Amino acid sequence: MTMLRLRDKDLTWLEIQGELVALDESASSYLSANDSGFVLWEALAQGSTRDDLVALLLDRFDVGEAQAAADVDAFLADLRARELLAP
Amino acid sequence: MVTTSAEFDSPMSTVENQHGEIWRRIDALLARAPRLSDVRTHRLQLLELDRRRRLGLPVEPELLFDERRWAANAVATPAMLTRARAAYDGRIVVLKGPAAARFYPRPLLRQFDDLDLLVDDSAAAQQALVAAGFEEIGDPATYSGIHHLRPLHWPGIPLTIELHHAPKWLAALGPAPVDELLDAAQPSTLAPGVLALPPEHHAIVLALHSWAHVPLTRLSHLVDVAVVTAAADRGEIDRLAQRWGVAKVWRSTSSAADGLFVNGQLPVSLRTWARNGVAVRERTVLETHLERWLSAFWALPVRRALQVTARRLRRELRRSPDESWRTKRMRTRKAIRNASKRLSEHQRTLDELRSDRRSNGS
Repeated sequence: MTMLRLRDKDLTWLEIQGELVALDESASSYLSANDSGFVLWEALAQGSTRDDLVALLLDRFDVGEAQAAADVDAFLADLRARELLAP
Repeated sequence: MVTTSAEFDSPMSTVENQHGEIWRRIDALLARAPRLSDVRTHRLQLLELDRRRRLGLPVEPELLFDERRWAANAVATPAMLTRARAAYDGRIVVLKGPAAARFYPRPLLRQFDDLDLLVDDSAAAQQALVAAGFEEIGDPATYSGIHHLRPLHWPGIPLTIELHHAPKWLAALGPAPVDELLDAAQPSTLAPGVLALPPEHHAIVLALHSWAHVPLTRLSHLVDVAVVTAAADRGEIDRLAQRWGVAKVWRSTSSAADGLFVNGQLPVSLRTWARNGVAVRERTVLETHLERWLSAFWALPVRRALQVTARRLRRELRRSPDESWRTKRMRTRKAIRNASKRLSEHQRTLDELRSDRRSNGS
């Protein structure tokens, strides 16, 4: 399984009450995410596979497997579109 | 560079346990605030939000909005400082804001809207940052002849930078000891190559900045003085203040901070013209005038204070260039009637009057 990770350059973030506030410095754009997004973000900061991210959502939130998978895929797609994942 | 959440919110560990009493008193003070707008006047929204969460009290949406707004500034700070550092090769010393935040139990409890940077050569630094992509904002006339240049903005980032050739100081006490401040600055944890003042120096800078704005008006200024002083050698602060010719204003500010947050012994200032601090509310019309007439005696030698006060009184008694004596008398009567009202409420009354006069063609 492919290890996914946030890019290691020009990215700053912090957690506020379980939610994410991040700054993509190279694009000068902010992003935020709710509590489930923050959980995924934090895991990606360390490095994680797509399946591990799904398992994480299943473990932490009251959500079904199909929903968890859809949420993770949507989140990863968004990060890829913003070029926030390491190549 | 990737800066993570933990790095934003870890205080200086050496001061973590020194502050218990200060924060307990801040909580008690906030509990007395009559309105959320008063908390806002004193720029203590994040501390109030934290207090309400800890106590399980309701939280207004506007406080959550404030939290997100200042989180955006906090998260942009390392990038902005790194850009400034890369653009300008002289010394860069962070004043106030994130440099003061490091003395809070959690830095994210300290709100700030801009980065105040003291530099060796502000004109050269401004030029360098503009060349690197920063844009100047604000009316140039506003920043002519003051202690910092026009604010600098990076497109897309709301946090601005202000390059200082001196900290805000009381002109009547002579120039700020800029060279000594720059020489005393030490490497900070805010960004590589960026400096911060030792707490002894920073405490005085914070006190003078507070006083030069409006004396003892804003509780957030006094919180800064209290927490930075708690981490400092007070004897050394006193020696510095003496050498810099600011001992009186330092004593007036620190005694107010101590009275509110350390020992409960309120100085005369907080019992008279600066009572709004104890009451955690906006100043009234009367308190505003009392501050103008009296505060100089808490900061300056008596003779100088008399001169400054006389000048202020003359200004108050004169009419504005664009108003008649009739309007001036009406304004004065209104101020007397509204003596116990919050200044912003009185100001709204005056604005309504002006608007009525304009629409009546008078």
